[in-house]
This record gives sequence, C-alpha cells and structure tokens, in this order.
Amino acid sequence: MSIFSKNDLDSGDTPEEGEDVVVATAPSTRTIKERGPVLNFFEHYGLLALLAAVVVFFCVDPRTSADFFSKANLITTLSNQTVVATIALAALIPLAAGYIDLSVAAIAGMSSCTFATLLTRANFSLVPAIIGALIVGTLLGAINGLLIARYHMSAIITTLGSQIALTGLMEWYTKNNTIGAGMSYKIIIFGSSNWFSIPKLTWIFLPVILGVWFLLEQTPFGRYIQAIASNRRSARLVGIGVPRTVFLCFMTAGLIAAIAGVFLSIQQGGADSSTGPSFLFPALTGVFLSATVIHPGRPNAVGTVVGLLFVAVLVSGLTFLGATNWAPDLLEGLLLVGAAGLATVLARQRGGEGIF
Amino acid sequence: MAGEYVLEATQVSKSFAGTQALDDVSFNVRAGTLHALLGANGSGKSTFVKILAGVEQADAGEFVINGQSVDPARMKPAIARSVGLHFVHQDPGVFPQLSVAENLAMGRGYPRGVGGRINWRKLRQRSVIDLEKAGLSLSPDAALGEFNASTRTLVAIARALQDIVEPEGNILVLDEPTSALPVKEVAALLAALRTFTDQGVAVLMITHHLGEIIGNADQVTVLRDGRVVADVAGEDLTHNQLVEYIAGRPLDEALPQMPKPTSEVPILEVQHLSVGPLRDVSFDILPGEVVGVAGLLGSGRSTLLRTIFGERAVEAGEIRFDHQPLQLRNPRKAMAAGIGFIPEDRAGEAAFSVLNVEQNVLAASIPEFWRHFHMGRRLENQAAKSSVVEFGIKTSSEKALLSSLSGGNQQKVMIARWLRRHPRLLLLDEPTQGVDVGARSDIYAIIRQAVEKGTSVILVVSDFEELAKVSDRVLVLREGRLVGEVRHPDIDSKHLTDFAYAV
Repeated sequence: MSIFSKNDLDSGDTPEEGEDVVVATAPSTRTIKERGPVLNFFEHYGLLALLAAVVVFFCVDPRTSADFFSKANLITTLSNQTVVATIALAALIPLAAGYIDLSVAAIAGMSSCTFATLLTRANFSLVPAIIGALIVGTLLGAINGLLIARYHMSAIITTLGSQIALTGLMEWYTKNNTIGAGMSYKIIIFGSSNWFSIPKLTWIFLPVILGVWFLLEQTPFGRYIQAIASNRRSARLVGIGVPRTVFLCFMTAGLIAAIAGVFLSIQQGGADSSTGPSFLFPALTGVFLSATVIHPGRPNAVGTVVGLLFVAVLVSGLTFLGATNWAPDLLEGLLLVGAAGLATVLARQRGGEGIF
Repeated sequence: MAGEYVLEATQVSKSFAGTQALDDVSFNVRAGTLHALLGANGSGKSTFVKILAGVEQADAGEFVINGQSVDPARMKPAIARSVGLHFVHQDPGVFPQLSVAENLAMGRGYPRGVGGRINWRKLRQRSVIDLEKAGLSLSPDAALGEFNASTRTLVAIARALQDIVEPEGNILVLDEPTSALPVKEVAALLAALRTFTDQGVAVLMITHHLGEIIGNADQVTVLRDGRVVADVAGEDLTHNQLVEYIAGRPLDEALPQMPKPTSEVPILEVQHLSVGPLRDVSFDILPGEVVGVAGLLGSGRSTLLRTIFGERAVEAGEIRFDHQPLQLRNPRKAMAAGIGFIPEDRAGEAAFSVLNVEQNVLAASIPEFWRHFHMGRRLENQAAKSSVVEFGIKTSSEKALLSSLSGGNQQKVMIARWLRRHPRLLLLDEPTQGVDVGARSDIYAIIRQAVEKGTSVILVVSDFEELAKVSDRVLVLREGRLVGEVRHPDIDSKHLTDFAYAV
C-alpha cells in the first residue's frame, strides 16, 4: 500500500464526498417491522428451495430426466460453471462493499492470455506462469481500486472502461487467434479430467470459495466491507479506513479474476480474447442472485454459487426441453434484472437503499 | 403601508409524542409588513411554518388567510398556494449553473413555442418583468452562480412570487433566509425585502439573529415552548427585551468573567485552534468533566468536535491530549487515543441501518474480536448482549435490524458503541435530537455513569435549557470565536442565550 501515503488514504474523504456512493447511505427513519418465521425462511432459503425444485422437476419430467439426470450432464454443468463462478466471486467482493466491478471478466481474460503466453511463448514452467498471471490480474484490479478509492471515480464507469479497453488490448495481442499452441499435454488433460466424477478444476475451486467466504464472513475486513456497504460516512466515523478498504476490494477482485483466468486457460488448453469477457453477465447474474439467498439483501459467497447453479440448471434443463441458444441469454437477462430488483426490495425492507 | 390582516392564526395547537410543540398559538400578520417570528430552538416556530406550508397538520386551531377560513388540521401545500402563501426555505433551492431566467422557469415552467420547444425570447421577457417586480436588475441570461448569496436568495423569492397578480393579499414566508448569508449581505437582503412590503406583500420571516430584527421588523412575535410570549410592534424594541422574551427571564448585563485555569491536570488542551469557521479557540477539559458548547447554527460547534476527532484537519493551533500533541490525521488515531464521537446526523453519519443491533454496537470495536484467525462470533454476541442490557436498549433481540428500533433506542446503540470502548473523551453532537423525553433522560443517565468513571464529555446541544442542566461548565461560541465560559452557579439558559445572541 505504498502507492499513497496513509494520510491521503484516511483524510481524503470529506463529508461531502459521499455523493457518488453506489449503495446510498440510509437516511430513512422508517421503522421496520419484524417478519414472521415463514417469510423469514423463504427470504433466506427461497432460492435454494427453488433450485431443489427445478432439479427435481427436470429429473422427474420424462422429456428431460434421461439426459438431465446423468453423470455427463453433472460434469458438463460443473466444469462450465467453475470459471464463471470464480469470476462471480471476484465481482462479489467489491459488490459486497457497494461497488460494482464490470471489469472482472476482462481481467480474467487478460490473466488467461498472460498465463498461456508465459507458458507457451516464454517457456515458463507452470508455477511461475501462474504467479505471473496472478500478478497481472492483481495489478489491473489495483488500478481500478486506485481510480475509484483514491480519486473517487465512479466504479461503474471506471470498470466499464477497463472491461472495454482490456478486451481491445486482448484482441490486438491475440489477433483473434488462440494462444496455446504447445501447451503441455499434462495441463490440458488435467483441465478435462475428474476426481470422483467431479472436474478437477471444481475441486480446486473449493478453496477459492472457502477463502472468499472466510474473507467476507470471518475477518475484520469483511465487517468493514459490510459497514461500508451500509453507510460509508458512518463507516469512516467509526474509524474504518474506507478508501483503503475499497482499494483492497478491487485489488482482491483482480486477484480472484486472475485465478479464474488461469482456470480458463487450463480448461481450454489455451487463451483467446473473447471467452473471458463473455462470462461477465452470467457471473453478475450469480452475484445479484446471491443477495436473495442466505443473507437477504447482501451479496454473499455461498449465495453466489447457489445463484449460478440455479441459472445453470435452468439453462441445461431448458436445453434438453428443446430450447436452443436463445435460452441462456433470455434467461440470464431476465434473471439479472429480477435478481437485482429482488435484492433491492430485500435491502430496502431492511431500511437500506438497496443495491444500485 | 401596513394594511388589513392577511393572516390570522387562532389557537393553533400541535403535539408530537408527548411534547406540546404548539400551544394555542394566535397572532396576526398585516399586509405590507415585515413580521418576524422568533424563538429559541425547539420553541415551535419551525412547526408553525410547517403547518402553514401544509407539510404538517395541526391538531386544532384556525387560520383566516385573506378572509378565507382555512383549517390548519387539513392544510395541504396546494391549499397554502391557493390562498396566497409563498415559501422560501432555508436552502433556497436555486441552481447556480443555470441562468437566472431558467431558475425562474423552474417555478412556473418554461413558456413553449411551436412543437413544444422552449420559447426563450418569451422566457427572457417574462423574467425581466419578474426581476423588476423584485427590484432586481440582473441579466436573465447570466448564470445565477455569478451572483452573491443574497442575490440568489432574492431570485428564489422572485421565483416564489412570480405568479402573483396583485401584491396585496400575498404572504411571503421566509425560513431563516439569512442563516446562509455572509454578514455583509444580510443588510442587502433586508433592504430588498422592503421592496416587497412596499408593494403590499406581507413578509413573515423566521430568524435567529436579533440584530436583523431591530430597526427592520414592523411586528415581532416570539414563541417559547410552543406559546406566544410576545407579540409586539417592532419599533422601540431593544435587544435586551428580545433576549428576555426568548429566554424567558430578565436580562442580566453582568456577564461572568472567564475563570482562571484550574490547577487540575487537563486531559484535553486546545490551543489557538483555527479550522473552518473557528478562530483562535483555546480551552482545556479536565478528566470527568462535562463541558457544554453553546452556540447558534454556524458558530463552529460541530467543526470543533469534528476537528478533535481528527475528521477535519487543523489549520492552525494545536490539540494536546494527555499532554501529547495529537497528530490527528483520521478518526482512527483519535479513537486509538481514547476519543469517541457521535455526530449530529445519526441516519447519515452514525447508523448502519441495514445491519443489526449487534453489528452497530460493535462497529467501532471490530478488531477486538479478531482472535485465533477468525472473528469470535460468540464473543461478539456476548458483548452485544451485555451492551443491550447495560445501556437499556429496547430491542427484540441483538440480531434485530437497527432500523427496527425507535429513534431513542437507535441513539442508545450509538452511545453504547462508544461507551463500550471506555473512551477517555466523548464528543457528543446533539445526542438527544429527535429523541423523546423518556429516552432523553435515559441517555443522560448513561452519559453520567460514564462520567463518574472518569470519561470527559464535550457536549453540543442547541437547547440551552438542556445544556445548562447537564453541563459542569459551558463554552460559548459565536461566529467561530470562543466568547465566554459560564460556570456554576451561573449556568442557565438565559446566560447562554445572552452570550450566543450578543451582538
């Protein structure tokens, strides 16, 4: 954190600075009613119940049961979702503090290109190539964080710009080809093989989600994030270093996006300019859905996975029902709006202003 | 040119949860006069204006406005407009980036031309007439931001009055129009108000500043504790008389001297501090002392607290805490030194309304629970539970959302948040604002307990009566300067009012 002096980080905030907060402060004095146990259960676990219901439906329905309830479908679904879920976890961290990060998917793409380049063109061995990719992602996240936390730029504009610029950079660098000719066979096999009928990458994903959950739920940093999301100015006045925390959120998002990038390269046996960025909206759908489950009104790690599985199961089931490539886009679009709307309602019911 | 009564208020009453905000308020306003409505904070003058504007409804009473009987219990903004009431609020609501003409159009809409386009020529012509009526010679095309604050307020007034046909029968209500103005512009605004009264408009002006009233107001109505205590002609009024009406006791000109510094060892020493409005402020705070800060809005009271908490940077001077110079860069340093701060705006700057009571109570103590590489949730829960009991917070559970609590209990949560850290100095900015009488005494009982254990308190409260009751001594700030210090047995609201209002 030597980029800026401690002083800048801490006293840069003036009371007037709270204007562009994404999650607005809560000036309301509305009194909030306690809710009954049934409603309470559905607010916390409704999406989980819905996920179970959808799974049961597609398993039972004779048109889909054979294809849907199969090992092959389980593996496909999990392996498709691992990279998306990692990108979603990257977006989750700034979002939990009330800042959207639209650049995580492009950062994942950049990191996957870096990884593939280091491995195949620069002849790095596996571990240094991974470290190189993680450094690139972390730095890109740090640039976002610096602009947003230190210079008070709008998160949505800054990260949208990053997303577009990074996509352009990748297109220029890859010339729309796949980087990866000569990637070690071992890596490619690793990316497509399973342990106990579950893709190996999904196993590696488990520590990532555990880490994010731990960070958000079990550390002071996670508490600071919650406080900032609830009321930035109050957070500052209880001694939380708001700019520093926000900066670290974006930097961590970059790191996790880089992990997603490495997963992507391993899974595809290479890297291209378009796959990473294309995961942005599926990932965001998952993150927004997460605010409707487990901790209503607050995006959370477990909820993100539940949300993504819900979308994936729905899409795969509908595909077996005969829906073709239009189904994922339509569903994701509707769910993104629906999830964001529901998350806002839930947050507002709790006396906040909702996300976005 | 005082004329007929245009506004007759008869026995208007209003109570909020146990407090009688307005108690049989009756007074009349004549056409063509500048009528001042005065009173200390909490005297009911804002409530009266809100009822007049139709924002709040009275419990009982009657208005006769321009001969028309209006029920103050059913007042609506639309009714207020239709009977000739025009309001300009404390924040005049003008747009500095827009032109003068556009600012005027914000009130009445833009004149339209073919196809719904804005007819700029017509707007300009109309604006020139509106401005003339207000005695302003401004170019309608100039950006409003180019003009000074009093002119901006006048444009807001011109906007409020632009659709009147006859000046007679109209009542312009100004809520603290001068509070945001630099001193030298106040006179300009007051002179300009004469333009309106000379045309026959009645101006009802709410203000804090007695100097503005003397020699300017035609009639003065003073409210105290929701009652009219004086309704007198403006001429011959003296400053002392006004203070007496506002504070309710005869004025004693003999103001107490600043006492000599005590021999005891102070915990906080503020020396020649200048920040924002504050100029060369010096004082000490002893351990276990409750020091009130009296002053009007804008006197620098909140700035003082925020500076000691490290939220605002010291421009000149020094703050020493426990004999060490405090190099305050941020609230965290102040917190580490043992200072706590409860800001005035609870919803905006203290509460985490979507978080639960536990999280709110522990918000300033998060690192305390980071043990053995995880957050000690059980410890957190125990700590929150014991705070809920200790500070008498009424809540269904410590897991209830903060927003489900009443205002008074939310405030107790804020106080618990700091007191559980056992601060050596607690800075309280209006800790009982918007809190009912019962919770208010609870809050002071809690603060007293902490003081008995040695915590020092600096307390900013607008209600001088309350300040007088709870403080060991009171520092009086006026326009950024420390103008006096009142000690027992001289602390009472009268002394404080004298000081704060002195001209």
